[in-house]
Amino acid sequence: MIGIQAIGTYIPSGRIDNRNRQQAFDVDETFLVEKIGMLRLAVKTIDEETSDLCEKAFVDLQLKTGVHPEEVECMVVCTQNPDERGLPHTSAIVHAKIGLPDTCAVFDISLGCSGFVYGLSVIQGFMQANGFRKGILFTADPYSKVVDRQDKNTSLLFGDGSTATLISDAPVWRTGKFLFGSHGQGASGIKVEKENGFLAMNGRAIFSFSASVVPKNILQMLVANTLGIEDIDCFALHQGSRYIVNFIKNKLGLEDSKVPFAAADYGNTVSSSVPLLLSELDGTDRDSWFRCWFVMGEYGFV
Amino acid sequence: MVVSRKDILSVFAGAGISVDLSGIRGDDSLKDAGVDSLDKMSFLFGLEEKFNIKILDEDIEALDTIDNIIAYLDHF
Repeated sequence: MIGIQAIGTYIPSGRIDNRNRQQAFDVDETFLVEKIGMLRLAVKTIDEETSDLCEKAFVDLQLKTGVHPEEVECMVVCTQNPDERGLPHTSAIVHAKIGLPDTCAVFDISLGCSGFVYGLSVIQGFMQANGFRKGILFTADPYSKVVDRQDKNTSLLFGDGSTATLISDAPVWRTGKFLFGSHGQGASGIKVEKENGFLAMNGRAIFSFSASVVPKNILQMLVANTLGIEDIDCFALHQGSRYIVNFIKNKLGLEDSKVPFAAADYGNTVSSSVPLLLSELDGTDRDSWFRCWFVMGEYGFV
Repeated sequence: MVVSRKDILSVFAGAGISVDLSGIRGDDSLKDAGVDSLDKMSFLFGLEEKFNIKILDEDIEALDTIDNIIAYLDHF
């Protein structure tokens, strides 16, 4: 049985302080702290590439596990913002940078905030189909490449970060049944504009979709796994904003302590937000891992 | 559809909005009363769920008073 053994992380040291931008965006303190929730945004340097973020998360993973590149049989990079223009694929570049063997299979997948959940299912399925014992799932989606710093809708939310999740036959967390879905008609709710290369987001469309679908999705997933809400110790929700996390928490009637919000100091890191959150639960008491069921309320936009 | 002020306020309450709107007049601006853009999104979502309607983006700016909201819902 394979599953998650450990999660390495990297958050760039650079920060944008949203408190210094409140006046420019006409945002008061209460709105920033209690609604947006992102007080600072992590930002990579201009010359740091997506593959560099992966490499740094891998260094952290090595520190946590001692995993050696030669042991890794497959690797997946999940990003919508690959190195340069996406060719060669970023996973090939990471393959070289971290010294994986030629026998290691690598490929990219392109997904946003649902990327970690999809990625877990994809890499585990790929490993099981091929009898692999060690694989790595990277998430690295530096939206600083596409965010217009003058756009109030997006520039107070997104931060840069990356994670490297080791999937192995010595798991501390195993996944249950997944539940996927897509809403292709809403795909234009968040997109990079062809004309200017900047991210454009219809906040209301994203909110309505999340508010209507995610709570139902979580309940359906619990049923599929023959669990009840009371069985879950931690709901690791995508850290889109404090407002949407609180909305889903309230909609399901969950206790505050079971729905952490951890992105205040680095922002919405897209597909890295859930593994970053899970990595913070990676304490010294490994026994606690076995008692902590987790649910990732995610849903895939096409 | 005929919707009352009480119905509107109950949707506000159900949306988890902390602003006290109990004394608001029909023609008072919700924005001026302290309803921010995210509260309004949540409220509009509540209206859509409760009345099974779809509110278009281009209509939402005008929906800033209880009276306007009641008149708007009357068209459905």
